[in-house]
Amino acid sequence: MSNLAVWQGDYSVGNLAPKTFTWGDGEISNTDIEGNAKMDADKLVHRIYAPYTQPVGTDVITEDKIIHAARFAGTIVAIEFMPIQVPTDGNKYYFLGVEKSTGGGAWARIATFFVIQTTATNLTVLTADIYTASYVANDLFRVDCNAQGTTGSQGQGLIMNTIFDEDSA
Amino acid sequence: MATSRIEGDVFVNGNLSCTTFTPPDASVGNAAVAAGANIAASKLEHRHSPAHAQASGSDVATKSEVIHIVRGATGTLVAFEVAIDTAPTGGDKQFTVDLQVSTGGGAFATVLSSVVTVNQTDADRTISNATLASTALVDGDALKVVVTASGSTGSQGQGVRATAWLDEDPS
Repeated sequence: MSNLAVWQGDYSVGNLAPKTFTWGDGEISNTDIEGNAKMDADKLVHRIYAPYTQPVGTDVITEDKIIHAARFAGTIVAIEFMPIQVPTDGNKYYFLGVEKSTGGGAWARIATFFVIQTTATNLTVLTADIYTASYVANDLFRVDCNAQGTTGSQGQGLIMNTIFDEDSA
Repeated sequence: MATSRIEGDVFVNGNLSCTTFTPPDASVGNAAVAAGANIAASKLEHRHSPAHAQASGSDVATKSEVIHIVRGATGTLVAFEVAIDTAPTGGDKQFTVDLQVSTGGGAFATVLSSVVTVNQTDADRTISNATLASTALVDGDALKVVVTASGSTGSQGQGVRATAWLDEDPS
């Protein structure tokens, strides 16, 4: 069946119930969604925070730990890091960052690593440059943290957040 | 007033407004949602992924950890996955991972059909999926991961992350 002639101008009707409807891009805002909508989680892209911490009051140690196992494909949004107490007075320092394994393959860096020396500043948020933001289902992500040096006081306490937007299906 | 029926397609080259609107099911895609919509969190079901993890470089040890408290009126357990960095090798050393739930302060009980077993047949850097026996959650439920290491020969696994995926109501 051919389209009807285009209706020019504005129209207002009572109840409108089309068989199909083509929304304009960006037409739906928060107020259009009912308060109790409970939009299904499997229709959304979810923002996932994968924190990695070492406790305050004890020296940063060398450690690797898996921080996320992807269920579905997604994108790395950001990697943010904050040292709580940085190293002081000697050559002690530490560096850490995020690695990925795809299909059981070897771990490989996906972003720049943070290097925390005596010149760093306590409680300052640092951001990594991400080499490869996209990932696939079953990818594994691991933090690789390395404590180095022999003199002075090692840093104590840290938090790193790797933030993912992951599909739900 | 009688209902008007229009056959075929209509394009309105202006603004179309209506007193009420009955959109067809599944007519709203991502592009239809404004980029800065900030759809309120209270209007969405949320997916959470609390986990228990043990660092690589040390043998997986027997440990239990409460990883989550359900806050939404209801929730649904979607999946339970166990990722291993270095799998056990060379002997009978292995470990199991269980997911248990406590409701209303009651005893923790497994929600899996069977615990996830990681042994020398598993490959490094892989994920094992559990079969869920029970998926319904309610506000106040506590989720606990129980890791049990066993065996005496060979090398134990190192580096494990057990993740519970669940969807919760916003309130």
